[in-house]
Amino acid sequence: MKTIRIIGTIAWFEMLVLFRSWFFRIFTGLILLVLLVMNINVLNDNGGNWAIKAIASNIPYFNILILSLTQAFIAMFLALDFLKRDKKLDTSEVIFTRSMSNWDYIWGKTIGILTVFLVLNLLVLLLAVIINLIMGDVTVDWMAYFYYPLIISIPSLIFILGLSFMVMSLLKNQAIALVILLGYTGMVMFFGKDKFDFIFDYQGFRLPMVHSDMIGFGFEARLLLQRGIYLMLGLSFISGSILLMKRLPQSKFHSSLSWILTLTLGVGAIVGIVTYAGTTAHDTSYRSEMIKLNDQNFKIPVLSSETADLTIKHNNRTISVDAKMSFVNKTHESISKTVFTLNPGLKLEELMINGAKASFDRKDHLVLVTLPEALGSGQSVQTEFIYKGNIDERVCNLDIKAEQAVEKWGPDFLIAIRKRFAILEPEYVLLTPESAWYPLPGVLHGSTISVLPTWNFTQFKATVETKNGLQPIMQGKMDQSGSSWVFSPEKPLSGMTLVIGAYKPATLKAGGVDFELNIVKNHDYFTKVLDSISDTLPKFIGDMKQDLERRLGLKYAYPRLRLIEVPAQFYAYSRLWIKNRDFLQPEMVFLPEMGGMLSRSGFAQELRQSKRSAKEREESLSEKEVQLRVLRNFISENFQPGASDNRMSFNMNGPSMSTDTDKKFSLFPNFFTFVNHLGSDQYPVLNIALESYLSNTGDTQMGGFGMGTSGLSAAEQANVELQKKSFKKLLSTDMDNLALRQVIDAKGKYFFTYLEAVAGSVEFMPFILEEIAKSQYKTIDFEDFTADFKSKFNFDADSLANRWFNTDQLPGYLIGHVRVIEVQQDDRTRYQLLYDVSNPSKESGLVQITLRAGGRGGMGMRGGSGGRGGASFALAGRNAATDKFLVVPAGSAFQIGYVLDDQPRAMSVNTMISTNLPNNISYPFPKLEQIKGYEPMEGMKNVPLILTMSEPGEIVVDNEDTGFSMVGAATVSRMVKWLKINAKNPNVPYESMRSWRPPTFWTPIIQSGFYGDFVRSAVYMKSGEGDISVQWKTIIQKPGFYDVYTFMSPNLARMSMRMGGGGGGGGARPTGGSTGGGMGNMPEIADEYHFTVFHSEGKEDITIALKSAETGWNKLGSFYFGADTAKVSMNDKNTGKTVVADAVKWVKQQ
Amino acid sequence: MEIRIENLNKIYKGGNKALSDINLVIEDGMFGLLGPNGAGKSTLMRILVTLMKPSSGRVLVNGMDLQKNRKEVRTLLGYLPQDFRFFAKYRTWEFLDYSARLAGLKQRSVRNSEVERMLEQVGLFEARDRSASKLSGGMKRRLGIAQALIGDPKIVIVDEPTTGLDPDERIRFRNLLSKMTEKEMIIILSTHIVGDISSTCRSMALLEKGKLVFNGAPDDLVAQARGHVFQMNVSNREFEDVKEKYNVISTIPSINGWDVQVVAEHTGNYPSVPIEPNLEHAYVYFMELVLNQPQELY
Repeated sequence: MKTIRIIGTIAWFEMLVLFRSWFFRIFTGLILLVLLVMNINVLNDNGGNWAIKAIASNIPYFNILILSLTQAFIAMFLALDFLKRDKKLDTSEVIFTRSMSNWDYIWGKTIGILTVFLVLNLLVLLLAVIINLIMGDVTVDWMAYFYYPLIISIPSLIFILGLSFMVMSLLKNQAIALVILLGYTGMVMFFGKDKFDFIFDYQGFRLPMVHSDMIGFGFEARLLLQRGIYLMLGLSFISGSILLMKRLPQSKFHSSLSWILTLTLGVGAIVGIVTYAGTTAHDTSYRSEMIKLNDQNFKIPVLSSETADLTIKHNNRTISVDAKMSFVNKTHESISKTVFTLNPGLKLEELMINGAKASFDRKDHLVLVTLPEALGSGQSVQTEFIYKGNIDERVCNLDIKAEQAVEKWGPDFLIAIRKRFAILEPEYVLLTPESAWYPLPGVLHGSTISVLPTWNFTQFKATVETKNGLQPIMQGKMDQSGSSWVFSPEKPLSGMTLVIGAYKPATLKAGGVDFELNIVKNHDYFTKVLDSISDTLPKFIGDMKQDLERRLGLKYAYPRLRLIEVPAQFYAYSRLWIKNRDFLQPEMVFLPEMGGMLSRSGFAQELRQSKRSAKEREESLSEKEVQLRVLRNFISENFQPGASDNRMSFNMNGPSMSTDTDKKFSLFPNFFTFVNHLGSDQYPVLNIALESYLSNTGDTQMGGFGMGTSGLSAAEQANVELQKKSFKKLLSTDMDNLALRQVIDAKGKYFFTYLEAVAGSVEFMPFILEEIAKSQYKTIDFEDFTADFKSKFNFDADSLANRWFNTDQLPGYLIGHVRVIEVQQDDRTRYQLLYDVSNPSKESGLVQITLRAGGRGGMGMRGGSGGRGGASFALAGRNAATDKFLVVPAGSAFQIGYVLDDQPRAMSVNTMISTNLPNNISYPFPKLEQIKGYEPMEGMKNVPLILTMSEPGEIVVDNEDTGFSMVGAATVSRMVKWLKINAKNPNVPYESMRSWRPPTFWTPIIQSGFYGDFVRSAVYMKSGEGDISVQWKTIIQKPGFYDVYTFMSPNLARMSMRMGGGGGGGGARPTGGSTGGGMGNMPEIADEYHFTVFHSEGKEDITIALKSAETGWNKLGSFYFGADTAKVSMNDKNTGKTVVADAVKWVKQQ
Repeated sequence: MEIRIENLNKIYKGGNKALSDINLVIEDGMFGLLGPNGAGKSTLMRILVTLMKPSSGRVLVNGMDLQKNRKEVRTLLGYLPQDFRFFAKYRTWEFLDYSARLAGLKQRSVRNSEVERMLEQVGLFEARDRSASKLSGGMKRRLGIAQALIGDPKIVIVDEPTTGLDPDERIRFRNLLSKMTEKEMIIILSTHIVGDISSTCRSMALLEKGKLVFNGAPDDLVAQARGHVFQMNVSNREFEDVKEKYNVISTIPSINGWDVQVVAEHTGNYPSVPIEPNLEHAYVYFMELVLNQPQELY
């Protein structure tokens, strides 16, 4: 009793001090202000963030998260301060002589500090709840206001207080203690990150804690353990600091209690850490074990499943299944031993083969079966698998590497959702084939992409029994029979999914398809908002479906589409081997809880925005029209195939953008992937190649912004990789999945575009569609495909595939001599465009030519000429008016001529898979030539092959050449080195140009406007004092007078100045930087570059002002050179921001 | 109340012996602990108020071993340390309230009236809402004594309370303390200012270099000095010689030189008149002649 009274007294007076501290008051004011702004930002009705507010508990979550992040620092400071204050204030001695134990004192102080922070937490929550109540369309999740502070704030506060007390008690120096604690927190935030499943994250800052209405946090036990560890550690430290307190103890009982608490809680925390990290480590090793097993058993012949009749009973956290399945041997050999995959959490109790009990060997997820008698090619076998148990989620996504697995899943940069891939709870079930909840023939993923699950089309039937009140959802027609639900899919499926939840299905018939919406109670946030469209909805949806079918040239394959709301936690990765995320299943789409992770799903605010913008544009739209517009935006942004998800990220080197190429919820798989499969043992990625081609997604040149810090677009990065290794070898290397996907995407599209160029678009698309149509619900054999292609187009696609897959050579192109000549034809002015293209490499290749006419949209072009066998060009499918594909055989060179109706303004060439960098080259059109009596040329003719862009008589040294060198090194501070700011990534040969904090050493960059044969690059760095330089050296064979030139890109400096002035739009590569024209209104630049030409009579310094320099070659002067080494140097001195060094040439005077 | 100090030693890290074999019994009333700076007074005080452990020996408070019964002893204590200047952000009355609560005054009404009474008593009632850290030096000292006295402690230990106070404040402070002696309690007053003790203490101890050199009533100390304090009149020339030879306690310029009071066994050839010693004389006599060590005097 006395203890409590004293603790209360100490706490009360500590609180008084803290509440009176200006430090704390200012912090409180600031944090409340920041959160006020953030809350209004997120919650306001007009531009709020639906992704966050879709789940009402996210509101207290992000408030507490931001508070927790900052309050840890303040708590740290205050904790250290109280101990320092005790030492410093002579008046505290009179307190120490009072009768109280050290236990009372330290706990009093702790509770005092804690209470102050709790009050702060309350204020923050109060603010949040007020805004939550005032603003709009979100309910208030009262419980969340209670549990988020409890699991985020309290453990982190107690931990940081305890740790601060402890460190301060041991070190007795506030400054050093503060540095250590800040350093520790920094380490945790920047290096600890998500290591060992967020074990270092004491603040709960990165810990994914979005709370689903359907399944809670999704990892309650681990979450509580993680928070418990820090709570225990904190309490242990606090007790420990009681023992370390510099005051003579007075209570043996309290001292013993402190010892006991310190030790037991400390040991408890350690046990917790070991358990937590141990589980993580064990999970990782178990996954490796499974991958290894797959590698080992991949060669075992696999049966193909034909039919499956599943009887499923769901009870609590288990399912018991009786799976009657028939399999057929589709291989050419007879099979006596085979392998199946079944989730390792499911215990296979009995296996019957052809009615007789069969023995099997279970290794983790694998079921190895020796058939009673060998099964001949084409023969079938009846099996029955009887199994029950729970689902081991570790079996999912074995192909996903760590770096992809740690990708954050959440509505913004701050709050995160725990990823779940398979859910089996008493009240909720979500099992996709990924979890192998029913027997799958073959193995799962191995260490390389060629070890894959098999792709089967199976005629399923399923009967489900579950708890009353829960609704099972699977594919197929749904019937209720007694207490069970029967699902009978009309078509064979690539896999069957089991969802069980408190769903209320609603169906809409549109365009011959049943659209069935399944959401859980209280989650219908849209019917009230989109209330005027119900009568038009069927037609509207039907039209959208038709549009999509037209666009893809493919038909929707099923009689229904089930849209199913799933818990926020359900996540599906993009895969290397298939263009589908598990958000899509045959005739199913999973919609994340409350539409939170979907685009434009905050319908109320979308509606307001649409109305506002309609008003601004003075459009008069009815309520219904606006609602339909909102719905259309929602559907096309989420479900129409196409690229999306441009993610901006910031690191030490400035902002960068990466492109996640596929829409997560694109319906494409329901048109192709689940219906067709292009199979080939030789080329395991052919199917995704076809998918890439058909869905036309993947890497797109995004006006220079579509790249990361590498300065290379995804396709360019793919080219860099493909110069090192063949496609085949790349697929079997341990490459980062995202990079590999870029290669696969680029290569995939390339292969089929090549075929398209060979066949001609007009005929190719129908051919492909026919191939697809005739083999629905079965695998298209690549051999049959090539045979069909050969008979139709007389081209050996297999040998193309062979080179495409196996060669480590890339084509490379030299494109130049671009001319535009005005031609008078039939009293009309027309334009002849000419250019040369050479492919001196050993590999044939494909380029895409795009022409732009000034301001008038598309260009009329005559395409389709050119013969087969040699070079040919064809109209491409989608931008037929302006794009041409050109096959350039190895070692050949052509002059290409087009006669155009409009004057062309620019030509850009996409060199696709080649050694050329950058991938897109823009060609400035020189002056329009007028030649009397000129006979225009349409088509192509052979010209002599050239090996370099330099003209005869010129000696060019480019920055890529051996004659080019960089002199002098920049000093880099140790801190910068240590933090790896500006560190060069060895895998990134070219970086993007940054005007925001340019590098302090010569850094290679590529740009269409730079000089180069195959690689148009230059080096650049931050302007300096002139002590760092570059040199171009060559050996002059013929003495004499030479004109010396340097290649310059003044527009780049203008561009970078403009961007730099705009507040750091780093990471950009301005395309067409040297196209001239179109660059009007550029700011004046002050840049002056300093060159020195070393010639026979000595040396001469030359300064060139960029504002008066030409884009291209600029003359430095004429000098006499003996038969010796000639040298030109340029230093880093410049009045502008950066210096760029490209190429120098010596031209012998005639 | 009785404090019994037995064979108390304190050796600091580094070997500095601060207290050496102290044996002392302190009973109710005001007890003066006198000694020059560095004599070990503060060390002894800090041991008595349980801020520090002795190296050996023990202290019994009413028979309870101080080291083993800190909890009980602390309930008896009121302490005013030598330095009492820096406060956390409390108002004057809050600091007193804080002390009162820790001293065990549970009931709010009792505590409030006690705090008010103490504030009145030390003359800080007007300043009760002022921030404690903004009080003047003397006021802080008074607040210090108030917090030491609040909650009716049985042992009050006051370390160098008058150092740095102006004479007015010093007298006021002494009066405050002497009022307390009416109660049944021990007040230990440690000081190097003799005047603090002579006015208030019934018994005293003299510490020198960690040793207890005198223990008894102030009068006993004075008695020892009787016959060793002289008054004489010297010329300017002689004054220099007197200063060399004797411990001069006071000098007043006179018409033909200086009136000087000295402490000495005898005054040799200089004509002198023995005078009745006071405690200050006795202290000098004791320190300079009995212990026979040259001392810096205040």
